[in-house]
Amino acid sequence: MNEYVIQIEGLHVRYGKYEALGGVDLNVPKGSIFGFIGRNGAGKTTTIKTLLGLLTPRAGSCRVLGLDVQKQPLEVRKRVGYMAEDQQMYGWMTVDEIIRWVGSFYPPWDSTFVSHLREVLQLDLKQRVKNLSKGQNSKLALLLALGHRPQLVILDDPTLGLDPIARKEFLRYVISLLQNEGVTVFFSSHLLYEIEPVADYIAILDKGRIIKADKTIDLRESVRKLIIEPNNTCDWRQIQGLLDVAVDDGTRHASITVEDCTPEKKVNIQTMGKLIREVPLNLDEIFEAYVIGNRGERKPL
Amino acid sequence: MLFLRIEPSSAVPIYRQIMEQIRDQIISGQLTIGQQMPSVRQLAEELAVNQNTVLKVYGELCREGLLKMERGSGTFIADVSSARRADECEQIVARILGQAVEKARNMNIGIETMEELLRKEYQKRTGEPR
Amino acid sequence: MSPTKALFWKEWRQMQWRWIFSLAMCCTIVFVGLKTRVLPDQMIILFSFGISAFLIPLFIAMGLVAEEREQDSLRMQLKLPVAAWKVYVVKMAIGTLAVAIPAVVCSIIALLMAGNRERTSADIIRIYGFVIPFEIIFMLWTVVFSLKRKTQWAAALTGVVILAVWVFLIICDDVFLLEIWHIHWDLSLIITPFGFLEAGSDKGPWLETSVAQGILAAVLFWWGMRRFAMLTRSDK
Repeated sequence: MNEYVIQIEGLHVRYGKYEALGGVDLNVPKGSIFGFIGRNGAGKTTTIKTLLGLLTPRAGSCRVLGLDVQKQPLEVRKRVGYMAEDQQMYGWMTVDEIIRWVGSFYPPWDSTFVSHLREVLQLDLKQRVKNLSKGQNSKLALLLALGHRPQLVILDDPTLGLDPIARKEFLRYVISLLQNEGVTVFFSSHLLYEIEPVADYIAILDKGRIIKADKTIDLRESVRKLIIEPNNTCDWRQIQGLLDVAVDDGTRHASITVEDCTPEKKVNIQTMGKLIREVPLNLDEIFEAYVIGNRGERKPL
Repeated sequence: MLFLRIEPSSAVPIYRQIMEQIRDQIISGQLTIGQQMPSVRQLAEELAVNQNTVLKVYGELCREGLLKMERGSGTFIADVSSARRADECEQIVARILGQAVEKARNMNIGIETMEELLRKEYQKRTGEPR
Repeated sequence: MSPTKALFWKEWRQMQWRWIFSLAMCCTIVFVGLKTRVLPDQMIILFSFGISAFLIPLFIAMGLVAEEREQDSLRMQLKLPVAAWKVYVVKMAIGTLAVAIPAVVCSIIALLMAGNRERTSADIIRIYGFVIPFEIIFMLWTVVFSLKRKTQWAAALTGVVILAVWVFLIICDDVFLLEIWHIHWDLSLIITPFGFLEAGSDKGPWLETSVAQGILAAVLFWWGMRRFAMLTRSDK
């Protein structure tokens, strides 16, 4: 049980009539950097809020660090570092005041560590929060999330609004400060090119459901795109693990994207037509195939 | 500093990008035998990638005999013989030539034309006929 | 700092400018008015009391929850490992202090300057004394009914609507006059906190008003606490 810091089972969350999450299952291994990706509105923030006990699910369970979130939400929040999406903090406070203030809510606050980190992040104690730049704001939010040395850190779109340099710098902090200490990081974003270098695992959330969760490397290697010249009209739906199919009107070539592509599967597909070539995919394309791929139910374009 | 570059949206997985660049540098002699590689942590931070990715790269290169990990001291460039180097270089070039051959076949360019083109390109770049 | 102390500190600092401004405004009016005696003491006192009763609670209520919703900083507080009801209770406590302090200071100034001048000291104390419960109740109603509002001005408007409804009830005299056990009851003075203000000027039904308003306030306070805890469920 303790190999997973987050265990979500059958989670259903509703906002009034709107079903935001329709049965989410997820397990996050201890010590990993776990990337949680999805389009805007897929339900990433909803999932995260539920993990922290800020939302009550209609059905399903969430366990964080072995605790039942519904039963002990405050305990969970005490042990988890949380950086919310686009965090608005109290502009009238100074950096020093807000650090002390947040620190009073977390008993195991490590002042020495915070002080050192503040210097590393180059945050000026006397500056008012409202005068901080976006980059500095993010750094402050990260600092506040790490001050009590949590075993699990949840970052909801932490690089939102940051320029490319600040973004890379932020990811460096995540790796050097957190991965080094064996802290588990649960990191949501819709920027795939950003998540891929840092994440051990990736889970794709779409319309309130997890449609794929795997090791980043395995996900990349197992999804393949094959261009074939079909023998005659084929029923694409026969292909196991089909993610996307597209047919070119001119050449009549079909591009088939499949998941878990084993050599047997490749051979199988070649019975439907001659293999022209295999196209390597990047993570963006893999994501697209999973989320908006034509599984043969529409007429392939 | 190894000056490696990662292309984020590439179709080549990140660990392979890193591995190929390091392998190239070792083979071509840019990294000398016995030189110490940055630690897993350092390289991960430098490139802003997951430490496990760097670990995997180092592991693979060790398996290929290009790096050696010494417990407690770090990772070093292995003693790669010049014969091995030449071999690897040929393999790299062969791979690129293979891609060229594929393209040529798709465009119905025959072997004689290919040899012509190869000679021309070589001359252009070195001024030596071969 | 303990968590509770931290909560108090933050609300206090956040409300500071509002109650200081209210205090300054009220006291200036009382001081200048009573000093220059441009109007009878009674009028000055009633005017400052009007501001205290009707404007200050709105001003304070706007800053307790609605301002934080507008700036989206409430999210920060509610995601901390502290129970939402504690945050609410502390906010209400500070709100109470913030509305009471200007009234108390004003009354002291009025007493010092005009005690036993045109009005007796006892009268002055009674006027200001009864304004305080009115203010607290008005502030409470405004905050609780404006919890779902996303801007300060919408919250202020809610307060104005509440006031208008109360005044309307007062005006509709006939409907609310009852005779029970041979005593004439003016219900509108009981179900709205205006009974406190009446008590300030003459012998109004302050006891009945206190009881009724106390019960209503408790219910509203509890209901507000429930709604406040739900504020994390935004439609994001």
